[in-house]
Order: sequence, then C-alpha cells, then structure tokens
Amino acid sequence: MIPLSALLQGIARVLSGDLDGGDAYLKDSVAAGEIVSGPHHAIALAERSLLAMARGEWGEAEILASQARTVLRQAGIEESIATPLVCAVQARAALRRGDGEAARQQAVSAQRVRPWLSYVVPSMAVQARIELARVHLALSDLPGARTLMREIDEVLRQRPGLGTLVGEAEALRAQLARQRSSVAAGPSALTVAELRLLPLLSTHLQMQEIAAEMYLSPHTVRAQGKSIYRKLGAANRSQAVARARELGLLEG
Amino acid sequence: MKYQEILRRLAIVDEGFVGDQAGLVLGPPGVRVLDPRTAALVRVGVLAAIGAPEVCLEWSSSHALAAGASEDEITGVLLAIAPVIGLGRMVGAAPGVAGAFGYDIEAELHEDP
Repeated sequence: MIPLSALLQGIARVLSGDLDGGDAYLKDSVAAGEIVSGPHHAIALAERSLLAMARGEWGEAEILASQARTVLRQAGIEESIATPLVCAVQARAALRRGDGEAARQQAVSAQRVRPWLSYVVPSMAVQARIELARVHLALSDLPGARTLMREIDEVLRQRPGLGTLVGEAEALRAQLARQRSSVAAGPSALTVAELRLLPLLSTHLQMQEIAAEMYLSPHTVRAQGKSIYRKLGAANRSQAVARARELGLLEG
Repeated sequence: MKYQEILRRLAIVDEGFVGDQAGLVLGPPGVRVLDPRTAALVRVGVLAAIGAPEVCLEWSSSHALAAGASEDEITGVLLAIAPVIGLGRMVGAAPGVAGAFGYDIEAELHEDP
C-alpha cells in the first residue's frame, strides 16, 4: 500500500462520513509510513487521533497524537504542512488532561506554519483550523478563534465541497456567533498575511524591499506592520521581533 | 517614556498605552446596553464619520472582527452611513477598513493584466 494514496482514501472516506472505513485506510497509511515516513505519516496519525477523540477514546488519541509529533521530529520536518494538524490534536489532548499552558504552546507552534495551509490543500486547511479554533475557544481566546473562522470561510468560499467539514464549520460558526466578547486582538489574532510578514521583519530588509518580496504595495506592508506591532504590544519593529521570539512565533 | 516612543505608540493606537497614559479606555463601554459586536461596528461608523486617520479605521475594524463582526458587515456600515457622512468620508475610510481585512487595495487596483 502506498502511504499517500491510503491517506487520501482515508481522508476522503472520513469526509464522506464513513469513519470506520476511513480509519482502516488511515491505519494502512500509518503502517506504510513506518517504512517510508514523511508528512503523510504524521497526518495519518493525527487523523486517527481525531477519530479516536470522536469515539471518546482519549488514551488512544493521546498516544496517536504523540506518535505524530515523534514522526515530525524524527523526519526533521517539525515545520511542515502536517504541523498545524499535529499541533491541534496535541493541544486538544493537552486540554483534555487540563494542561492549558501546553495547549497554548501548541497553538502558537501551529500559528508559525499556518500560512502554508491555503485552499490549495483545502481539507487540511479547514480541518486543522477547525480543531485549532476549538482549542482557542476552550482557552477563552475568542479573537484567535474568530481569526481562524474567517480563514475557514475563505477556504470554503473557494472550495465548498469538503464533505462533513462543511457541517463542522457551520457548527463552529454558530458557536462563535453566540459568544460575546470585546477583548482586544492580541498575538493569537495575527492574520495569515501578518504571519507571512513577521519573519521578514526580523531581516535587514527595509519595508519597501519587503513589499517587493511579497508582491504587495509598500503602503499595505506598513499598515500590516502597524497591526502586528499593536497585536504584539510593541512600539517598533525591533520590539515586535523580540516579542515574537519571546512568544515562540519566530525562531530564537 | 521618551516622547519618541509615546508618539510611536499613539501612531499605532496602542490601546494599553492610550488607556494608561491618556485616560482613554478603549475597552467595552461601561453600560452594556449594546453587545460588543454592535458597539464595535458603531465605533467604525463614528470614526469614518469624523474623518479619523486610516490607522484608527484599521484599529476599529480589527476590533469589530475580533468581536465577531464579518467583513461584509463592516463594509455595510460604510454604505449605511454614506447618506449622512457623505462620499468623501466614506471613501476616505475604505483603505483603513481594507487594511484590517488584509486586503491590499493598491496592489489589487494596479495588478498586472
């Protein structure tokens, strides 16, 4: 069995509502991943962890989530397309055992690589964000959850046929609409555009050069910069970079 | 704090600073007659009406998003108040609102064919 094809089969079945059939394929994908590892292996483990959570088998879910993280570490791909989903399942497992701080750390790790998950990989982009939004909600971080919800809506607008994820997104949207909050947007509310800009702020490049690099207007990059500084509570670029490093949003 | 940092913090609407140093507490209104989302949308409308700087529109729109308003609702505020604030104020508010959405108006306008 080729791990990637089994993974895609598994995800397709889960999205169509066939959870047991999907899990069988995901199990095959995990077994094949033992021979040829990579992001697909970690994703298969994370997907199986989510299925175990849905069945209420939290012990199994935690083991699978931890195995997914180990795969990323051993393959040297801790920042890959699989990372947000792996962080999400680890965060949900941490919440289950009452470790809010660990869940928060996982959410931050997911933020760093979230820009990689666009509508090009729609099911992954939506599923990881739904799980992460649930984590932010559980941590009473509504601005963070709402930022993710807007990104989910954007992906669904371009790729509407995502099976059961559409209903899950709808339920999350309704849950968020019932919440009332006026908390100021902090680091967790950094948008994908701002998360893309953040690493470039730590370089020697001037804002004009960054704009050219990102194919954006200099005006927009400056506006995004100000928004980043505000969300990080920084009064200039170097303070923002220092704060982002402190929070784990940038490499130390 | 040096005047340079004070001016920088004002220029980005640093809420904590403005609240502590200028006594302008920008959090939720004391009397909770309006829900936070509605209050945030009203603030966007008022800032547009008084011709506030772009960064204030960006800040208030960002607040409205965090309070659960959608991009369509915030843009709808501009259209709804246009008859009473006029074309100039409404158009002037657009770049700040777009900034909060991460929407690059300039780049989109001048995109290569």
